[in-house]
Amino acid sequence: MISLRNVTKEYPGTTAVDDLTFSIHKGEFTVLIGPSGCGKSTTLRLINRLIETTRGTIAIDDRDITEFRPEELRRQIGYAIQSVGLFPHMTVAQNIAVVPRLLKWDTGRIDNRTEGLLELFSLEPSEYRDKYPRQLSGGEAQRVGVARALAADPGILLMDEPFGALDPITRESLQLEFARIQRDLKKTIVFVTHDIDEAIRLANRIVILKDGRLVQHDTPENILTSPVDRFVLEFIGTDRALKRLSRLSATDFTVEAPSIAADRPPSEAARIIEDRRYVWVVDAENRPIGWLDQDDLTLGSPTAAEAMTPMDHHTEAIAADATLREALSRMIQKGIRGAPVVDERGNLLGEIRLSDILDA
Amino acid sequence: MRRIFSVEKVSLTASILGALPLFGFGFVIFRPNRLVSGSAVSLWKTAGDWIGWVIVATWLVLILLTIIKSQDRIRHSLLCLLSCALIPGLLFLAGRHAALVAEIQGPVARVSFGPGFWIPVFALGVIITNSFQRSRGARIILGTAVFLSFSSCLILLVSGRTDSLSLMREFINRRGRFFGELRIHMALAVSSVGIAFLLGVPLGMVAHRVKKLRTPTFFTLNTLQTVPSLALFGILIPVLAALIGRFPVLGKMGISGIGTAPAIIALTAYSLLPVARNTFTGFSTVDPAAVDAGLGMGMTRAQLLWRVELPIASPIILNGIRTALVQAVGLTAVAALIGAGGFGVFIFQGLGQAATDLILLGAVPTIVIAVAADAAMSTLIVIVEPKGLK
Repeated sequence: MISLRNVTKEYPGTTAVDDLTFSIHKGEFTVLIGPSGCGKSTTLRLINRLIETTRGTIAIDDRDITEFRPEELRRQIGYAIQSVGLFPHMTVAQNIAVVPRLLKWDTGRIDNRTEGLLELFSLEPSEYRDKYPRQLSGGEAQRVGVARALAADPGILLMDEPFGALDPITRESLQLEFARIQRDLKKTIVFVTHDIDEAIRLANRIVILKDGRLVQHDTPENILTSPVDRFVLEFIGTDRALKRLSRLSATDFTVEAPSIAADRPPSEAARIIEDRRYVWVVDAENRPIGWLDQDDLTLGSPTAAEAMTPMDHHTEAIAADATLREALSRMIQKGIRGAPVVDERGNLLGEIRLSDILDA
Repeated sequence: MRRIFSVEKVSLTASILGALPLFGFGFVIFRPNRLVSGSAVSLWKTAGDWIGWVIVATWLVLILLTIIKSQDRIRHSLLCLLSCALIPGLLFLAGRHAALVAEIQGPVARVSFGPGFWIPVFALGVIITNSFQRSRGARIILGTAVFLSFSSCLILLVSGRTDSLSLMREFINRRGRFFGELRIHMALAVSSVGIAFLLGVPLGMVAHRVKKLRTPTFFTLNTLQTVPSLALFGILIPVLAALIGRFPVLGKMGISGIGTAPAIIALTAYSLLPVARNTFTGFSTVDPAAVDAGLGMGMTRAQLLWRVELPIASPIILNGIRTALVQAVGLTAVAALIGAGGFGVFIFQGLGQAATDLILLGAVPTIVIAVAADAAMSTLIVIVEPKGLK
């Protein structure tokens, strides 16, 4: 646990951080966010003593951080930054091994750890181990940067806009990848960003700062539903309802849906259709390929496949790990009131209804 | 036609400009004795020898190689090898001619190198440097060829075959003195660059770290660099003399207003700028993000310096030392004026006696040392440069 108590940082003429008090619990992903100059990066750098506090105390697991030598403290805390800062004269493996080497791990242990981290970040060790930073793309360099921060398996990870310099596509894929990694690692993460979408996507808790002061510290859901003041309201934007949907998973809103095999006569589904107006048609592998409604039944076709309104399960089905925001966008785009939900193999799990999303 | 010809501009220019004096102006200069002015003797007069014809033929091949299309690596390798062979050839021919003249005209007659020797040798140097840089694949072989060329010249000089040349006569008359001055010259240049290294690297680091000191530091060093060397040596004489008057202990330590002490002080002052400036530049090339990341991961300032900053900055710092060393070897020649010794002694003696060959006895080894130091430092930089930065 990291706790900040009345933390203030003054520079001649300005106060960068003004009387901050809040705690970050173990295993929690906390995002510090605010407009530029709000003191979010300064706060981050106060935690690993790259900047010293003017007043107030910061404690990690109830020990004041000034009890440690700064270098000792920093070796227990991972640190990743926007400009990555890989050492250009060292290979990828050597870069990752920096902190383990400072901690005097033996070579075998370092090699194992490096290999494991490269795999964790989907970088094939045999291909990337001996590359130099200038041979990496922006996304690859940032993966190595985050892997390096995790090298000595620190309990705490400080990240200063780590995905800020990447193009939107790479940024999003890295955010998702990092969210997946964090689900297993459960590190205590303090993450600085100015991108509210990134904060909502990743955070367990968000700390909103303005002029060095804490404005609101809460879960993303609570911040979206009940912003404390006009500043927060404006900061999270007018589409906060939509943003909230991106916190919700499609799986949680999936309800059971009846289906009929493609080679069966449509009449078998007549009762269901009468009941609920339509039924999903699945192929031999239980993948949704279309639907039947009252109009389709009147044609008298011998099989469901011939009678149905066909659909492309790649574009119209919702993946189980998608967010409600994606599901809504998909439905609006296609003009449908319900969409099938499928697992990663494309098998029908159930359906999601527009009315449920609107009630969410 | 297009498929046959493809011009290699640098080597073509060098080989043509080298060929003109070789075939036109005096290859060697003949004088009945040391003091009278001489008459030019062209290569055609000396080329009665088969060696002369071989040289002429080889030079024509050299020109052809620069215009006929061929694979780049092969072309540059051949150009380099032929040029390496031509230099000792020219020296051998000049030596042989001098020996012939000595036999006929007696020992008072002098044969010196003429423009028809120096300019072609310089042109060959240009071709060798150019080809060496462009034939990356064959560097070890070509490096050996350059070394062999240099050693065969040395062997020729030592063997006595060139002893009749005026330059060698001057050398033989001062053999003992020559090696003494060589030792002094090297010692002055190396020790002053050594001191400049010990002072300049920390100075450059401080200038990089402390912004306020940057402008005054480089203003001072830049100003020092613009003081004419002759003047700086001169100014130091009264300054040191006054200091010794004030602190006699300095005098007891063997320091005086003339000689080694002012020479080393002045040479160090000149060497400081390239060393400090390149150190500053080297440290500036280190990405601030790498420094931030290093500190943030828990490196101490010293670990950051030794493991990150210095490895990244070292090639640029070494380049500064290279500049300083080449410059110091040249400037040391001037230090002879204030009694510090070195090859400048021969240059100023030669100037006084209007004896060109004596001037050359001082100038040629100075140039050779400077070029050798440059090559040695370049090799060192290639070895030291971290792979990730190339």
